[in-house]
Amino acid sequence: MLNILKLEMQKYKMGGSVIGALIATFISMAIIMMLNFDQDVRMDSYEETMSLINNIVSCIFIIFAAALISKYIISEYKDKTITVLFMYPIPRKKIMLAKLIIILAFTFIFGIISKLMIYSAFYFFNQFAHLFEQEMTSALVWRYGVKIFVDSLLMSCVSLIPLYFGMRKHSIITTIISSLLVASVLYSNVSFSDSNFALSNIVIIHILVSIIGLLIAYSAIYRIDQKDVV
Amino acid sequence: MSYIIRTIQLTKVFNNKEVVSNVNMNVKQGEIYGFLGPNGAGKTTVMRMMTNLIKPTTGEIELFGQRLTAKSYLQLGRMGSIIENPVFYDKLSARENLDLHCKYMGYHNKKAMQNALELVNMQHIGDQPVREFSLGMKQRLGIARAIITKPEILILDEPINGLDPVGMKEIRDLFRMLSKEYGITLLVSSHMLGEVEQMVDTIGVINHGQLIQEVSMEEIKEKNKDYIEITVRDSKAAAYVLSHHLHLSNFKVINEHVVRVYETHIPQNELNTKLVMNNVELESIYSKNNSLEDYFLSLLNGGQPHA
Repeated sequence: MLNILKLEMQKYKMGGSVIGALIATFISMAIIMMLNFDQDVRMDSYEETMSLINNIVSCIFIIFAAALISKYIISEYKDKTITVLFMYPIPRKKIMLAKLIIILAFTFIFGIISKLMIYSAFYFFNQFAHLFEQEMTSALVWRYGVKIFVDSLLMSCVSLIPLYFGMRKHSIITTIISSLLVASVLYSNVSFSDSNFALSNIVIIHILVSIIGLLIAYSAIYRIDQKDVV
Repeated sequence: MSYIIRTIQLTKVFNNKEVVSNVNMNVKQGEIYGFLGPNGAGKTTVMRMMTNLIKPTTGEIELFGQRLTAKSYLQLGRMGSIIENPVFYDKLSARENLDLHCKYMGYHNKKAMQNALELVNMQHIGDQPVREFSLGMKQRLGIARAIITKPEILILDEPINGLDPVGMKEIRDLFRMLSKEYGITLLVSSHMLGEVEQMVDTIGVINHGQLIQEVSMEEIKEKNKDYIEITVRDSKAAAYVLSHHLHLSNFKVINEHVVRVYETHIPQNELNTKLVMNNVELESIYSKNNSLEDYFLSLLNGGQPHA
């Protein structure tokens, strides 16, 4: 299995995706900092900042994951290289599982890295800009740490939902558009009030949707041995 | 005789349409089998089933004497193939593609890549991505990829397509060499008999999803010899003249009116004169030249061979 994972990463030159993820992180970092120059939306607590960073990073990585799904899975079907791949003496299930693990792990790991980077950057930014005075206690650090971990885990499962739509007609555009929809429904702010409320803040909804993501991944592997590759 | 590939009543239905119907193919170990048929006859579908890309609706396939099932992954490791067009990871170079292929196949021989590239005359290939290759180059690279791991069976779908005449000859020679020296069994599809007739041992002709005929090349050549057909009132009398006056031995009495002379060097007027001089009443005389292409076309049109 490890070998297949390595081959998949070699084939698609993982380095490019890492650079892409870092660039996306720096851009969102810049956006969050710059938002504070507007008096109306200036942040006034770590709680608020945390949830904003969480939503922005989730949106970005849901779309990023869709790009990975397009690259690792949809384009194999579209370019018909899947016919070569499925003629190797390796169970199809293993190959698909390897691809899904890469996408899931990448989204999860870079979700965490990205949030940590932006959050630390914001912390230092606040030390100079004095947007608000709030002490960062170790209890807070722990709480946010766990939250970052859990949210990233759920988000990476959710990010597999576009696979369902993309696989129907092996379309990259459908994959990306469905990821935009998922991101905007689940992670964007709903302006009922001034708060940073997003649907994913309701934990039970977030968990349910991430289970749907996992089920979609399972359905992509289920009985793949029997399916015709046309 | 042991068969390395067999299909038994192989049938595939797509959207309620039978694209392959009850095909029984028998490919002998070590031979080159020409799989012929016009475009859309079902060649690719049969080859896709053999490589497990699609599953038969009914019937079965035997490879290496074992039934092919959805989980027969190990058998796939003993085969090399090009199905439809040779496809590659376009952004990667030829060598990167071959390297990936070897790793997926679990084949670790550093020299194999250079050998395979030399065999298809592409040893000087640079590092440009495969998407910049012409169809002919992709075809060669596809063949290199199929043979790099020295498989026991090669399944090649129209491998000569897109090559120039010199390239065609090179590839045909290569196939013959692979079959003779390495004992590899080749199943090569084509829509033109002329493309493959010099190298194949057996042909299977498919049309509208049905295998019309499976016959050895020797048999076809035997059947399709050129001859002069003489129609007379009494074929026995004609036969007597042919053997005693013209000293011919290579002729055949087909029925009481028709005789075929296979020694085509003899001028028709000489035959004519001798027969008339010996009181054999002659109705017609004509010479018949059969090309294999005609034979192939007649199979496709009528379903039954003439001659």
